[in-house]
Amino acid sequence: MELYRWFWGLLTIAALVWYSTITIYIAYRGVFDIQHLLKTLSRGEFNPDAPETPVKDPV
Amino acid sequence: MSNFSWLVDGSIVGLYLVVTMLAGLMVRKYVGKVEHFLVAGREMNLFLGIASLAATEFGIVTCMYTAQAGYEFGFAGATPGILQALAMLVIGITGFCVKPLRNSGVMTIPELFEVRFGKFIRWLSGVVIVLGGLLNMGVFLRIGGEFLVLVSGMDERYLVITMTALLLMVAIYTIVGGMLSVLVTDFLQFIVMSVGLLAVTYLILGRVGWSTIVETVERTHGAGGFNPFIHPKLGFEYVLAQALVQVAATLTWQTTIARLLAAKDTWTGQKVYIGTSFFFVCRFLIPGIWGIAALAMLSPAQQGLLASDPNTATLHAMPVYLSTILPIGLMGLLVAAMLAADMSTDSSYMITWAAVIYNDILGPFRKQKCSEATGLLINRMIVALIGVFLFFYGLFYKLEGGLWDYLTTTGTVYLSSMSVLLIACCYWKRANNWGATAAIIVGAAFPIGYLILEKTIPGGAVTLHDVYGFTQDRAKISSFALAGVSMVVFSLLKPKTRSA
Repeated sequence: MELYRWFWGLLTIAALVWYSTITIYIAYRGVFDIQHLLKTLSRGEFNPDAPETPVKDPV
Repeated sequence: MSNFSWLVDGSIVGLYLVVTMLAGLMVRKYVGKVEHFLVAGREMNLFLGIASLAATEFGIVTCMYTAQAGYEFGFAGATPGILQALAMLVIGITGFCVKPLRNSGVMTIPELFEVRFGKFIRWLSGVVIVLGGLLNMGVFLRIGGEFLVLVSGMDERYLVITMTALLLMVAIYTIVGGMLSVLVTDFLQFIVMSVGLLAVTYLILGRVGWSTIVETVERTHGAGGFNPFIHPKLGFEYVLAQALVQVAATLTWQTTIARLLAAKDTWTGQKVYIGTSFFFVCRFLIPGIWGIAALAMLSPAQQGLLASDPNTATLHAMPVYLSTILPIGLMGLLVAAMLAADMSTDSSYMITWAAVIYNDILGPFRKQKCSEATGLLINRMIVALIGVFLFFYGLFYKLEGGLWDYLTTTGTVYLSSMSVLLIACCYWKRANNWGATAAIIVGAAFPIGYLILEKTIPGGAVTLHDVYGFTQDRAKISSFALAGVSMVVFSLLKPKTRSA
């Protein structure tokens, strides 16, 4: 039982630490991703009349 | 009695809603093409992808079923989260199936199947994906509404109004901005949702204490509360069924795959998988702890009141508990966080299933390619119709048994066959349309059969289990195993000269 307690205790700590860190990091980096996404789309790099990309056989 | 203050908490929620709606509507000018609407022009980068996938895969419904699992099974209830995290990590690192899928340049999985198995399999795959997906998401709106009503202490007669408001807010920006709006709002929703989830968890741990949580699990479930293999209600079959579902979901779940296909390149898509993998542990463990805390702290009177409706007793325990312990301010943050979680999930589900309906179910019937404007209009109408379906299904379908069981069983309708088809499509040259047809039919038969029998025979799930030995886990395992066998046997039976 002691082993189980340790396992779930450590997993909970890892989850809280990881989640707290990643939230801050993604809040910061995600802004740049959105800027990049909107900038690319607003530059009109996507031609609405361009043909669809052909689908490739994966094998 | 809830601590929800309409002035303070209502203002926090109102502010969140205004900012989200504005952000969702502002990006509508960038949508000029169906590819923008469905996969955001394939320009999604890593961090936006992680935020979007995490926000999508955590809704109120997720919070409710994972808390229910914690309440009913202790820590062992978080097992599916660990299994999915492992699946995401391994598939992200190796690129198993997802690499050839992204490299092929498709917008949906059935589109890929057309190349190997023909138009009919593309259409049939679309049908089972939509069938399983819509049955699955059919309960989202109701569960979301129930949570908000319980937490804010509103009268239950306001449930329909809450459901309608939730649906309308999500539908407006999804219909207007498609995947672009979904990505941008997902990012905001990820932040609000995460701050709320973490704040509530730290508060619960501070108030209840880790040792009380562990002792409650030990007292209620014994060692089974920590180890799913020895829990009397879980066991080996449960773990196996969950492992199959989680691997298949990682490979073929429409909302997950949509992030891979919207990524700017294959490696970015794989990195989104790797970066999001550990979130799936948090997704089950954090609300699971809320559920365990509810079990530990609800008074016998509160538990007795909940038990008056056996269908919802364990499901409603967590929101009832939260409604009484969260102070003003944090209550508003929780409701905003849960709204964020729910809106990101609903919007993503609506847009990704609309993609399959437009691309794969209606696509084969279009004699000639329609204009981008017409394509956008059709997509927007499909999203609206999915919203209408969600509303009425949520209103009239009565959930029996565990929420997570329902979700995984309806998901298996297509997860079993689609994962088999995808693996065969990517790695087995002999795979053909005979095998694909058989796998789709067999894969859907077991979970659908289980759901029908559960609703039609006297005694429902209990009779199925006690008299026939037919459980949800066995339905899932049979579905996966026989879909695989059918693919191999029928592909080999087809004469080589008749190619797909």
